[in-house]
Amino acid sequence: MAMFGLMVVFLMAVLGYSEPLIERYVTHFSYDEQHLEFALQPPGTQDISRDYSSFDGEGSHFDVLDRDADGFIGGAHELRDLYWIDRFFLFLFDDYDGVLPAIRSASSPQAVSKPIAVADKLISFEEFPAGFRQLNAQFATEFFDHSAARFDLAVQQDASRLEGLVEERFRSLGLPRADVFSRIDRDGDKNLTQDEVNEYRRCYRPFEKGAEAVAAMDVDGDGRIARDEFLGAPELHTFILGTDHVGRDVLTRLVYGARLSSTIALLATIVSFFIGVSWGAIAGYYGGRVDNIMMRFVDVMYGLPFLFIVVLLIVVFGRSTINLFIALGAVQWLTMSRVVRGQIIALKEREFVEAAVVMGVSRMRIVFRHLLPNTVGPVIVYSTLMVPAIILEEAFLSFLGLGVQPPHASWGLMITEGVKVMETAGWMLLYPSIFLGLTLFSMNMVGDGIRDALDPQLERD
Amino acid sequence: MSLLTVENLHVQFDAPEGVVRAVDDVSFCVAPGETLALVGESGSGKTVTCLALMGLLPDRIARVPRGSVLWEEKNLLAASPQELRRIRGNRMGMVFQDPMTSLNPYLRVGKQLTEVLTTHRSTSHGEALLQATAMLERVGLSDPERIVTQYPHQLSGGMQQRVMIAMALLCEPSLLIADEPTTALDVTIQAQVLDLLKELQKSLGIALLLVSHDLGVVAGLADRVAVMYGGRIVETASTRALYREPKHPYTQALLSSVPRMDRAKVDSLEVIPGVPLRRTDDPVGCAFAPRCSHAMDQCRLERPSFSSSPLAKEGVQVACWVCPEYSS
Repeated sequence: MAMFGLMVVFLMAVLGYSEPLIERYVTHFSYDEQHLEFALQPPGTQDISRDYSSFDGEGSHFDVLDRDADGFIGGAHELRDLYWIDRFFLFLFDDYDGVLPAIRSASSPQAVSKPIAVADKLISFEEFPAGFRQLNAQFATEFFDHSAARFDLAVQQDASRLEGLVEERFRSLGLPRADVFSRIDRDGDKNLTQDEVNEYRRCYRPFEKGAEAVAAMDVDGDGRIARDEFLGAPELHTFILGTDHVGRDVLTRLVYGARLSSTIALLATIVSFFIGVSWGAIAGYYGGRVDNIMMRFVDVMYGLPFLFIVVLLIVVFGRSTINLFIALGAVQWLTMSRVVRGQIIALKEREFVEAAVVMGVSRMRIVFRHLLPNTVGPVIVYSTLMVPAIILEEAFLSFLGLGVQPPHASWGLMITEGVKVMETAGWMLLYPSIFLGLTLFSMNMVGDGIRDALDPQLERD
Repeated sequence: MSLLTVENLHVQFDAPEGVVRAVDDVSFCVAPGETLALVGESGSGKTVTCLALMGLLPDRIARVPRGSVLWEEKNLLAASPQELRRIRGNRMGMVFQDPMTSLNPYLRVGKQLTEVLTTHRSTSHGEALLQATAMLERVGLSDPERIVTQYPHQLSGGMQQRVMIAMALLCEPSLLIADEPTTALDVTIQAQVLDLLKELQKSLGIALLLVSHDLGVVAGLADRVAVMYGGRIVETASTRALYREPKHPYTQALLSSVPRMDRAKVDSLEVIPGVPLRRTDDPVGCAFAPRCSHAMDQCRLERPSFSSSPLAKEGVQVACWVCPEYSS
């Protein structure tokens, strides 16, 4: 059992820390690359705020794109709008640089949305042949036919009619009037050679697939992926554990969350382990006034609401993940020190301690060499119980806005989010809970195993 | 010159019901190579005396208002912890009553043995291990190479006590204090351990301070015996003299309450009447007076002491008004 638990935790650690591996691995979940556009979304990488002035400068684009009016172009659906419109603008206007390069320079490389990054790579406009801009009417029809799934454009033979529809569509989006066709058909001969058409098809195939994928998600057929449509239930080949309310893949977030949660939990446990064990051992062994002062300090710390201490530590030392685990560890060691102190007090009257004193062994050596190994059982068990406790406390702090910040994912945060929507989207609560439960179970198994391994009284074969 | 001299040692404990005089004006000395036995019933103060010698008294409740423990002229009671640590384990070894609890269950035997050497001598670990295995062999354990890799619970009680003795002897001490070394062992092992102690003491020439309530053990091992009652030493004599002709009424009563193979079989053993002193009692006169069949008024009113210092005169010393030698 212990080995099983150890393996699970080890596996999680490997999963959590090998980011490139994960990305490649998760990529293989989908059967065609366009599905990645939705599947692979690292947490917190896709919000473009209203402050992005060069985008907002044109007037009302932002409000149109910001469908849920939360002041962010966030979530895959809004980003997809942005993406397509951006592609269109790039396509239509020579002087338009596109929003993507600006986004990229404005944010860290990580902050570039995965769907955009992936799709962008597939349909690099730099790769377009020069002749592409010499579209004829037939080609334009074909183009808008494929794009229709997204923009509700009817198939039209008539170029002018098509142009009118495009304009109408743009107007409905609140975008400036686009002299679409004249710009497409630059030399005005309304012709395109077959070679150029083939080249276009090759370049544009991802677009077609993307349109198909969007259409598949668009349950009510209104041409938009609404919020409830995005709250995807688990489905094989795409999101095997479903997506959350903004379309982020739960599995991906779980993997990223594992890294954060396990880091915080393990480091906080180590911090509290070292403080608690030394504190308790010294108080227990020296006894008397030393013990009194040290343990009254612990009592006082107990008396303070732990949240207060954590908030204080975070405010003083700044809000970072490192400080978060230090703060949690600095609170968690109290119980540990009591556990150890109790053990040491029971042990220090034992004759082997007297024997060690008689042998002339120094006090510190007695505490750390003779007494502490004897407390290993309860200490290890308590430490493994502390790991889940810290994961949950971190969730609580995150909920209050003190812990891990929303763009990032931690298991606690995901559970907190899942609880809010558990009636409509149970998987958002279920899977993080299962992962957390499995981890806690494994930690306890590991704890048992370590204790057994360290206890010489148990027969080992 | 004696190795260890205890002079007028008093040890008191602060208990809720009053001051407990656990050791009350105790004086004795141990010469190099000699075996002195401290004998007495439970609560007579023999173990507390031992703890005081080793500096193991619990600081918070124990007080030593008077007296001195001289180790080759150095007063151990006034020594600094560092000085004490240099002497303990190095010059003085101690074997405890229960080997099961005296060995750290979480440390391998080898680790515990070598710790003594690495603490007191700047011996390398490998060298210390060699010495440890040699010493284990010396105390009669076969296959010491295997034993040093084992944990205490894998050894039998007798083996554990042998390990304890080996540990005490590793630094070649001048004095070994054995506090009831055989009480926790079964009878056949007791005999083996006693033989071992005797043999080691002879061959290594170390002094032995043996604490026991078992007169049989003492008879076989000790050169001299000090009998304790109520925190005081009531009689000191050579073993032979004490067993042949006990002077103090308490010693007499003690010996007659033990079955002996060299005496005629009796139907019932004699019993010392009365009860031992309560812990907080502080009798004005002789501590044994309330139970003594020979007690006189003087016994209850005036405390007997050794007629002359036990340091000056070897041989029999009795603290009793009744004894003819004493009154003369």
